[in-house]
Amino acid sequence: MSEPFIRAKGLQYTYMAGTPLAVEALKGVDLEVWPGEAIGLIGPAGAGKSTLVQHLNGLLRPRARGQLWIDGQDMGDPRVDARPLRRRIGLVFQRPEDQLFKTLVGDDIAFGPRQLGLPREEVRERVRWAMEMVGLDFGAFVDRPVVSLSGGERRRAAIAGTLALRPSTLILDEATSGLDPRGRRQLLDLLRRLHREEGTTVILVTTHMEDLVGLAGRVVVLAGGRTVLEGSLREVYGQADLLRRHGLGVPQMAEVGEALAARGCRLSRVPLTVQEAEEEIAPRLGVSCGVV
Amino acid sequence: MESFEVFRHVTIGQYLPGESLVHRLDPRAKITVVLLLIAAVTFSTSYTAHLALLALTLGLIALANLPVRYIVSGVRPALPFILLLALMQLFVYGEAAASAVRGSAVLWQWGVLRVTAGSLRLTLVSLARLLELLLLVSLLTNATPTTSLTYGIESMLRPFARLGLPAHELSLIGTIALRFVPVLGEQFETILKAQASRGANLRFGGRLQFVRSAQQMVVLLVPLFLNALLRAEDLILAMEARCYGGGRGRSHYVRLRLRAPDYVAMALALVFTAAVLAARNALP
Repeated sequence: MSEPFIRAKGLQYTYMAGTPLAVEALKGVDLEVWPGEAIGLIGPAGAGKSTLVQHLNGLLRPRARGQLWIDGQDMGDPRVDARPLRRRIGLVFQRPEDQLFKTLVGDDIAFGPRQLGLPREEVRERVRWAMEMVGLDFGAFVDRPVVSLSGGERRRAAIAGTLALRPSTLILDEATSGLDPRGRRQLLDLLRRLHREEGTTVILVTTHMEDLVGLAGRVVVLAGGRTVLEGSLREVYGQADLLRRHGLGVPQMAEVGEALAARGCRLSRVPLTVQEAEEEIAPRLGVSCGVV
Repeated sequence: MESFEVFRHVTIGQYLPGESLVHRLDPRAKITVVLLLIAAVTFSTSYTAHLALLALTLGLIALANLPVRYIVSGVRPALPFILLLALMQLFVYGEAAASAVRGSAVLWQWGVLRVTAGSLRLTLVSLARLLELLLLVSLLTNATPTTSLTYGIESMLRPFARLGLPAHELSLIGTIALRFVPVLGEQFETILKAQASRGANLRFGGRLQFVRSAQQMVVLLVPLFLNALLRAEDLILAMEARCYGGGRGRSHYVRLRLRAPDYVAMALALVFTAAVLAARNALP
């Protein structure tokens, strides 16, 4: 691995700076993201996750203290134009379905590519690709009115709108919240596919750590505007006390491992999934039950 | 560098919590005082009166512990227009001002441009008025939560209910509207950022490309209005679900009661305004 694509050091940000209503959202965030990586960003509400990701495509810029480099550019430099960056770093906001504005699904997804000034055929191709990626059938949905879509379909259409820019980095802010289990699974499958097959760098912001299994190689925990923990998914899973202290839920399988350890039965590794837990526990019980 | 903090510069109507005497006054007393002083500001044309008014309003702002810099920063976006208007008043309005306001002496003339004592006075007084009005409105809205402001207005309008004025409904509409200003502002910012993330070029055309600017606004306004309407529907349902009736016989959690400081404040404002208005043509 060469240089980190994104590097933040002691990043700080204050909303409404210089007014009596100033709110310090980031107090010192360290983050490094390498190209082609998939990382999870977790933290309780108010930790500064959304403020941080808005820095990562240049919507917010470091003002006074802290540094942020993206692709070798110092984002604290006011001369740096962030707009070209946004074509390569796609940011999907919370409740992205609220931002749909065209009447027809296809038109909305085509908005980004059209803004890029791409030729008609290319735009159409990208819309088709993006819709297939998110699991919306091109033929059936492209000319459907946005209002006729269900909540989950709208979410997917909105994500397709960002995918159609074909960003090399995709950031999703709480993208799975409010989706039903199937919608959640499909979205996470999509992200895995984008990461593995297209080599897209993925940054997934979530409060559900289970979302990160099988996707994120590394997890960064944010709390109170600071980076409080960083490590592999398993390392972070193992820090149940720290997670709880910051108001985060501990994944169930990690709790099982913790409960067993408290009873003197220490597992060789922190289980991430039900299957891993089974592999750890079944031999100790002297049973082999194959697949659960 | 683009800035997405659009509402940073909106200072009027932004409640700043505090414990000052001004914060603690009854909203009705504050509204009365501010209305009286606005009358004084509007009707006086003398330099002396405006110096006194400026000193008074700044004193009140200090009493309320409000940051003057923050309040004044609210006019920054409008500054070019204000200056343009002031210059036009000063140079072009000379003749009319000479007859309308005291002072027809020509101070400076060049072609059609003419500065008279009257136009100079008009310009300076207008600028002073603007500043005083800004300070007064900020004094009211920055030191009073919107809910107590609307309760105050409702209570002051109640006598007119006999004449068929729907005081409660009006104040409810006011409360809801004010309550949703920051919500919609925040939403607008989010939509702005989200569309910028999707590649929207939000430079709003050039200064003269109105059509392009309007087209780009669609990207922002359609989602904003859609969300506002959905939110309004939710609000209606929530109010219905709690059997909100409003209107007559409805009590409030906080009872407004005028106390001694409220009466003193109103009396002082009344005396001051009466004095300024009575002497408005006698003072230089």
